[in-house]
Amino acid sequence: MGMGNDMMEAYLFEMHSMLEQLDDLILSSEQAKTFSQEAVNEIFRIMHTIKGSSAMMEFNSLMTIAHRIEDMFFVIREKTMDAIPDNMRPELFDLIFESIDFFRSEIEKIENGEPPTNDIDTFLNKINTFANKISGEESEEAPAAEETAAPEETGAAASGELMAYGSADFPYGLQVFFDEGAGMENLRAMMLVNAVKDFVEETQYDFYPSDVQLNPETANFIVDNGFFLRFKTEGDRTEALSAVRETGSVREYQPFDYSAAAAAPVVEDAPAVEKDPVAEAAPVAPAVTEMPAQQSAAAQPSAKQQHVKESLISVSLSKLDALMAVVSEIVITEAQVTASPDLKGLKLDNFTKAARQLRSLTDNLQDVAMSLRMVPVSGTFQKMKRIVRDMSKKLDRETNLILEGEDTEVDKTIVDSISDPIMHIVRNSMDHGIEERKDDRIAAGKDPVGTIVLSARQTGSEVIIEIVDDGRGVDDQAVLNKAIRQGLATPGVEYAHKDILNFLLMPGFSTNTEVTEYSGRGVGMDVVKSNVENCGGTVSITSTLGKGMTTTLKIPLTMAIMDGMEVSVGESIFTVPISNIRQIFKASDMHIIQDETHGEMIKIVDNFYSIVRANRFYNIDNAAETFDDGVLLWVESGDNSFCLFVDKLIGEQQVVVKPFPEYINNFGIKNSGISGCTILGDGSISIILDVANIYTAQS
Amino acid sequence: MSEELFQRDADIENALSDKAHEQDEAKYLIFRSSNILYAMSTDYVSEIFTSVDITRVPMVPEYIAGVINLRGAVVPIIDFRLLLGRWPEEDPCAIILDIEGTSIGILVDTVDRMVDISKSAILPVPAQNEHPMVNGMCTIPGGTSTVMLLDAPALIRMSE
Repeated sequence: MGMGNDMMEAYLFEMHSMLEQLDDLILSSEQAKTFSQEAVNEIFRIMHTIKGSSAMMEFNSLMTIAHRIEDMFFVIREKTMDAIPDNMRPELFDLIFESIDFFRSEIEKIENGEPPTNDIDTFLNKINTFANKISGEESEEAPAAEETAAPEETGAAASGELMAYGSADFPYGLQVFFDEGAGMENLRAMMLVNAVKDFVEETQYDFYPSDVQLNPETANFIVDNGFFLRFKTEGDRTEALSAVRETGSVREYQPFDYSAAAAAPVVEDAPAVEKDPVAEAAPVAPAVTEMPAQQSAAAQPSAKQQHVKESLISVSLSKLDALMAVVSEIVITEAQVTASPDLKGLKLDNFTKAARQLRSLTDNLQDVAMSLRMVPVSGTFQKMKRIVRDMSKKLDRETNLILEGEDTEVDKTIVDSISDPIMHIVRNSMDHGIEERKDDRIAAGKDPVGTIVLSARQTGSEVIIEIVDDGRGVDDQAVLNKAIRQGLATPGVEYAHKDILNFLLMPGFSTNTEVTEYSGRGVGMDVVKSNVENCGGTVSITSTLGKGMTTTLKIPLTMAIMDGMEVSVGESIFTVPISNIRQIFKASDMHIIQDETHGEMIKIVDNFYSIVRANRFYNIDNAAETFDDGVLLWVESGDNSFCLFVDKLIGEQQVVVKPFPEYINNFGIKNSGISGCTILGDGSISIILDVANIYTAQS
Repeated sequence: MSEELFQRDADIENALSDKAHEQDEAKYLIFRSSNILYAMSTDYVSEIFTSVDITRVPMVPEYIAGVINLRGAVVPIIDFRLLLGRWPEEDPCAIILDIEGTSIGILVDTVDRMVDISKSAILPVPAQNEHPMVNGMCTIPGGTSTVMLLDAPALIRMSE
């Protein structure tokens, strides 16, 4: 086909982001049980873009489906959602979801180099049937509309009545005629629309024919009937007049008021008039399919112009790694140059000034390079919305998914590796957690609507992802019985609650007797566990019978940015996560309280906190021994709070968390609160402390 | 396709015969640690530094000197002298090794030179003098000194 790869990539990228946008849009609309007019416009626009770019790429199946949905939304746009009765709406939402899935599967095929499907008739029929239903509703209300549709096809508006092109939403109309023989009237009209944008907010007006930008056929209509701008308020129309006057090639314009016109009995075919815009949709749309080439050419610029995410590009991770490595080298070399021993004793004003500037630039460079690999977990989290939505419908268990900490940033590779485990756990919660019947929930004193909370937060060098449901919880006895049946547990042995929960994570365990569509395909939590462990993380489950279940994934950051406080102890430098520090203060030996085992404590506000001396804890020589010579960091992690005694504060710094090499980790230093390390600006290594583990190791 | 395969077979055969020819001799790096000479296959050696800035890591055995920043990668450093139970007397040299994809450095007293050692010249270590890190010994060709052959992968196995 001679199609550039770049073009294909751009197309796929655009499709992905548009489908995500659609998913979001429809999920939120479904919750509101209606499409706002904005949402309708947005869907219309997205479908339009999909249609255009798919046509250009010659993916006809995608184009046809998008086209049909676009048509349908054209109708909805004109009639607003009020025209669709409540009982038809779920079907509409399902239909759109189905079409998203269709687009997705097609895109996947294209990505895998497979030909797109040609068998779209069934789906097309489904859309058509529904579209007809919508139109059917309409024809009952105003039988005249369908009749007018036929004559309309020949000449877009034989009548030429102004009111025919009015709109109830935008009652203040303006009919514009361009110079005779000016040519390209549709483009001139579009330019006029753009010019008006400078005077009137986009949401405050619309225009007719609405597809002037894409459909060259509209030029003829404009020559015959004029171009119609419609405003919500009279004031806006007056404002817009200056735009109209400034636009060249405008021959004449004439304001008209829709409401006034409708009231006027002069109009011959008044009953039909109100519905006219809808009827218009029919003749305009076929014209588009007849000219796929022209239409796609026109659609393309619109896609580019309107696409919000166009400024994103995708870069391979290996390039980012290479960049990061070079940047670290630059930072180190910079330090070597500016702190070169050769410069000692020299007074170099200009050099020092330039060096200082270089320093701040390299710092900047490092920050930017670091941030490149980091992506928020929101993408992964958002996908769960759809899963919960689909399953609540299928299983008829109404459930809300609440997302927290979506903007927690983690390394790209981590995001990819946790996506499947999270999906599995969420499915499990829906399938096994949330009660089957609302009555059961009500009887248990819970909200009839189930809740699943998916949260992410970063602590020290770990990302903690929690999936909490308020369902049935784990029935220890049932799990134990199952474990015994599966040969995982020994009958007659007493198992603790915690041990029983651990059976859930063992291979070959599935509490559901029946294999369902969503979970329990013989693989279960053990796969989640192994996936998470593969990226160095841990999975733990807590549960209270009848109250729900919490699954916690702790995933180390192979590379994450963290705000740290650099502190020194003897000659060693440590990084304490700022998020763990409550307060930093100096204390004198006389404030210290000794206990009978030589433990030390200090009173802060109304509580006593134990003190951990970093030098003694880590056996570091030449460190401050008296409290007057050092500082205390009051640190906190979860419910654990204590004071860490160090020599000096060096300063706050944003650091990239790196794990220690496996060789070093094998000595179990994690248990001593050493979670990782980071390379400082001058190339030296600082050890990152994990406050929670120091607390555990100390007590 | 079949031609290509054939070509590849021929290549492999060539390579094998080359290897057979060379198999007898291999390059070794000789270094000194606590007055004992050691030799290690150069296949494992990636870099040698005469001075390094080592960050100590708490809570690890004493022979772990710490970690260094090698172009953005954190590489563990073992003090080879302490590992063999000798107290270091000189400022060390660091040899960075790449053992089956794992980077690790060792501190030794001095790096001596590179030699070719023929496989047939390598003799087993007497049972009484056996050490887990040493898998043979030999006399340097043309010289009088004897070297111990260091089993580099054993360094990695140690911590597992």
